Amino acid sequence: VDDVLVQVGLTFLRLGLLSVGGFDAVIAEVQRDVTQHGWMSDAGFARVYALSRILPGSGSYAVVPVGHAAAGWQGALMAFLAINVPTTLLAFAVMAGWNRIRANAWPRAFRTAITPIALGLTVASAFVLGRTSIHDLPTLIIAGATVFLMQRTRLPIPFIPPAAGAIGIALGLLR
Amino acid sequence: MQAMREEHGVSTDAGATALAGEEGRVPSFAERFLIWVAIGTFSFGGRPLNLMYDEMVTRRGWLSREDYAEAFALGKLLPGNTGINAMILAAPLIRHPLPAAVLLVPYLVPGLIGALILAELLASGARYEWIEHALWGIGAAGVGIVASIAFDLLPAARSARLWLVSATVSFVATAILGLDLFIVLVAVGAASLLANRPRKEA
Repeated sequence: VDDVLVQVGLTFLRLGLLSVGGFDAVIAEVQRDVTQHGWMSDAGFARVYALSRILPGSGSYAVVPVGHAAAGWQGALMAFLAINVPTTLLAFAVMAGWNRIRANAWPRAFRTAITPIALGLTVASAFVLGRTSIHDLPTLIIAGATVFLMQRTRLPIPFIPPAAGAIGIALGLLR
Repeated sequence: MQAMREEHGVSTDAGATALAGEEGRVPSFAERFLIWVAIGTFSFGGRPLNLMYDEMVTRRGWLSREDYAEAFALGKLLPGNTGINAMILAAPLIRHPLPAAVLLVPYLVPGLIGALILAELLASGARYEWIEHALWGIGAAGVGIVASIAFDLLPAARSARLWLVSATVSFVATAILGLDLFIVLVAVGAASLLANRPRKEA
């Protein structure tokens, strides 16, 4: 077995199990491990992470180019599986247990109790995202227009990012 | 209301909260498959929960806002990909516990294909400035999408006791103080659960 492939597997297995709250929670740890192994430079990983944000789905897809850089296509698939499979199995186990009890009084109280926290965390996400993504008038207008469209029309979300991306490209060409 | 939802395939805001989950229309496997493909394909910007909310809560009423909040919170309390966790944890709410595993495939494959293409492009040393420009726009729209979902969650959140305290503390702890999300969820969640604990009938 390829040593590098095993290293990729073990590294992302550990990082996956540490990523409570999502992949973004361990991004600094990922960067440290990736550079320590010599799979990518700090700048290279930062670029991969930024570019991976354009992909649909989870931010954890950033591990695929890292695995690819370490051990080619096999490394890419190993990284993807190692970071996702164990945690997915854990989620299925929790789902099975939670499903048995969720009609009881306390889990129902949990649903009521957790909703304002989800609201607070969603506002926090908008705030934190805004600090990095809203840096001039055009980006502020894009964000405001998105809120308006979502609240006042039934425009499906999938139309919004491509349109916003096209505006970004157009603005980039004008600068 | 139920008939209206089935006729139009879209719920009203009130209907989504009141009818989804326990009483909502049971979506067919084909419907669920297509939605999972759509979420896996179009959730640009790494934010599948936004699209999950839009499709399953706002448009189809398969989940109530409380169902979504439950899947969101449990998904974040567990390690791993929050989107995958939330999709799995939401699966029984829309009545398909077993096919949840099958449905992860259409959810994951589009992003994986994109990631493999990105890996190959980066390995070739190519630089695409237009992608970085597109990211400016997508990032800004992402802020707007998340802010809009916060507006939508407000009515459901207000049904909890001390909702404003829980929401404010969660916001300040994570966005301003930068505290660990897991700790915030456990601490504020425990306090909110205590405030909203089941009470015996008088």
